[in-house]
Amino acid sequence: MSHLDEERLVAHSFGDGTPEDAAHCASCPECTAAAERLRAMLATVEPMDIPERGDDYGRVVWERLAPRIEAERDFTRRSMRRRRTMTWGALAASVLIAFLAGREFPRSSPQVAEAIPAAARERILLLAVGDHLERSQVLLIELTNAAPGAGRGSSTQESAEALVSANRLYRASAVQAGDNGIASVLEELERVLVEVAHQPPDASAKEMERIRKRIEERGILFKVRVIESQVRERGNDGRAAPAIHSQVS
Amino acid sequence: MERMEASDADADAVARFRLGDEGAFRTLVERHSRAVFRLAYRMTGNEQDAEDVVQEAFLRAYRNLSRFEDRARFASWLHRIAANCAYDVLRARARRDEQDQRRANEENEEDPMADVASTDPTPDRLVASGEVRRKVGVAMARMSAVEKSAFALRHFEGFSIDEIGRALDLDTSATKHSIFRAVRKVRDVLGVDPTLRPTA
Repeated sequence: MSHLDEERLVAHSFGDGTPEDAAHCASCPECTAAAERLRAMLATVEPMDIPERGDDYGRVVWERLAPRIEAERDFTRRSMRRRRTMTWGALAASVLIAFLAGREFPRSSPQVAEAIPAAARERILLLAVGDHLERSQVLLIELTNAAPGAGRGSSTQESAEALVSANRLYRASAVQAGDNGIASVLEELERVLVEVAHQPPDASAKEMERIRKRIEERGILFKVRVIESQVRERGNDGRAAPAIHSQVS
Repeated sequence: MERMEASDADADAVARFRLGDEGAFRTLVERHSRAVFRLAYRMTGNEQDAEDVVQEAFLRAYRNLSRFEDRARFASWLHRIAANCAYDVLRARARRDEQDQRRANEENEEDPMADVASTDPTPDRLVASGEVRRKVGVAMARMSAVEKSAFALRHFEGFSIDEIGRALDLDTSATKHSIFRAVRKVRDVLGVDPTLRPTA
């Protein structure tokens, strides 16, 4: 057997070599000597001096961490409340579908869009879009905060699939209403949702990392947060929401 | 024995956290902060970065603890998270400093210190002269983020190849190769036995 090359020698010196390489070294004085020289060199590489941290360091870390943990808890509580409003979301989606159907085929179903007063339809629609954007944020945050090396969980995929369908409706609505800003953000969001929904069950951690990076680099979470805030404002102050209003009236 | 007691105590705290006792997480933070800081500092070599890594690592752990199954191995899991956070910091720093680094490398090439290697210093002499640390610092500066992370985790922290691979999202072969490249840079800077491999 030929001598170990440098890479195998390094692995062997750290105890990470193959049994075959170990067997070779056991019977090869030259490789044994080379491994010893390597170990001697590594032994001189000592860790740098580390700044001391006192016995109360854990408490100090906790005091800095606690407000962030509290913010996480708030976020979780909000998510729970949000789930309870999903029923409203489903109702709103039905209204939107009814509206779109009425707009597309006015003669075949003229009564559908007129069944609910325009103002009520607008409020329900705003609520639905706001909730959709909030649920999308939960998913995006879960993705970007996933543990290192984490793949895609089945619940994440289910959430993404559900959000894709709703997102298509709301994007179509925004396009028809001429609200290009919202339509553009929803389009970016949809690409991410579709990717997550269509990842195979054994999607590699690297693939998920690529999606996370895209979310971060394109600022998708931030954009979604901004339009959610705008939509909520429209719903709360009762003033006409130009784009969406024109869509439902 | 002590390690066994620590892992039992961790398992107990994780179990309490999962039953809704949020205070149990504070116990884990207070128990592991110093070790996480040491790991973060060895990887980043910067006090502020290490403090940021400590915060981020515990925050990520908090978010994912309810899904963490192997309760007795909390410390290993937490250290992998911290290693990943530190790796993120190193990569971000590498991107930020890319231009500066290129300039620094050019200067190093002209640095007479690089020629010290050719004077064939022995490790003993280097230790005695206090040069090793400075030179290791030079070698570390020449390493990429992944090389530095893999080397620090293997050499200083005693992580296994598998643990490093999981922390840095590398396969076994890439992990070993990163360590090899890092060792070669250390060897080049220290100037100790430039071939390493047998001459025959």
